[in-house]
Amino acid sequence: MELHGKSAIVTGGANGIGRELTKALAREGASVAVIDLDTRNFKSIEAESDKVFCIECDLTDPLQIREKVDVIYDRLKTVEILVNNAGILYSAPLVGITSDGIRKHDFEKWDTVIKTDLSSVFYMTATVVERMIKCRTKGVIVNISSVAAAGNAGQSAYSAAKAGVNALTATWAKELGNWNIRVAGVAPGYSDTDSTHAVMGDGNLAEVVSRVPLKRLGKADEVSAAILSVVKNDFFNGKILEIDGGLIV
Amino acid sequence: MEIETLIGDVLGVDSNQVSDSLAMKESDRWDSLKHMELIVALEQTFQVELTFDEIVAMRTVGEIRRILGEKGALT
Ligand SMILES: NC(=O)c1ccc[n+]([C@@H]2O[C@H](COP(=O)([O-])OP(=O)(O)OC[C@H]3O[C@@H](n4cnc5c(N)ncnc54)[C@H](O)[C@@H]3O)[C@@H](O)[C@H]2O)c1
Repeated sequence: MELHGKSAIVTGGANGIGRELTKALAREGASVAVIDLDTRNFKSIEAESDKVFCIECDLTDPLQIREKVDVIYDRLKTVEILVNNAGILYSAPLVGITSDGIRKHDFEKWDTVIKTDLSSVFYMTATVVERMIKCRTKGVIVNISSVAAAGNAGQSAYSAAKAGVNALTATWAKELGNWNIRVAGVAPGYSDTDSTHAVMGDGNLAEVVSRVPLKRLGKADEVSAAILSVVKNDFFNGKILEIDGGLIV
Repeated sequence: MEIETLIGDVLGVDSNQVSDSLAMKESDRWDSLKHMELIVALEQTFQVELTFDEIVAMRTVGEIRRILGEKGALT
């Protein structure tokens, strides 16, 4: 897919990987609607390129999604590219001994992570694909998964959500091929974003890095380049591209 | 094997940094998953079986030393 003149939605585009991807898409000539809950960077993101605009939306709420997607279509008229990138990382064992004693995984946190990392992908894609089908748009959906989809100790909710994202990717690739809509995924390993440092802590990250053959974290621009290549390659479909420095081999 | 060496190996820190006052609460390397790795390593190395209450109590190096001592594992 040639990006010049195309329109894209990047969820979670206000920070980290999504922000890098937004810049890269705009550089290649695409118009980009960023959807995010965090509005703090909206002004600076819009100032970087006149091809980008930002919309506040909580992606766990399907009603807000419907409303905001309508606003995006009013402005862009069509959307060929949807990148479901928004997500939260949460680590906690099912049952563990902590410095406060024995503690089991918080049930509300489970619900929040599943809603944010899995249900939002479902709501968002259903809403956009309905429009794509009605407009007979040749499009591509890229879901940002994680190597945690294989099951990371200490990340029940996050791993389950990302495994769900992989299953949706395969399911939709089979369902939507007839409509000329590709669906694929990108699964980063541990990447150098603010939220990774905040959630993992530097001690845990040092241990993770020691297991990566390249002995470093991925950079947001390296991950965004992988996403871009999936968007562009018209024969990449139904599969998950892993970009993890060789962590899982 | 010395307790300090074993704990240092499991937590990935130099054994010189392992003192009795080292506590789970203050170490960003000693989380609940590492705690269970540590318990398994202690049980195997010192040939002891720890009770649940002992596992929960072993949240400082001092407590680990005390409990292993009480079980006669350090003689
Ligand atoms: N950074 C990593 O190491 C890593 C590794 C594997 C996978 N990933 C995945 O890559 C994606 C991006 O990660 P990142 O590190 O750039 O994260 P990030 O925290 O920097 O960015 C995620 C964005 O999603 C937004 N968001 C969260 N919940 C939202 C909601 N309910 N509604 C709208 N927006 C919401 C946040 O505000 C944030 O801007 C995520 O899906 C993450 O799971 C990241």
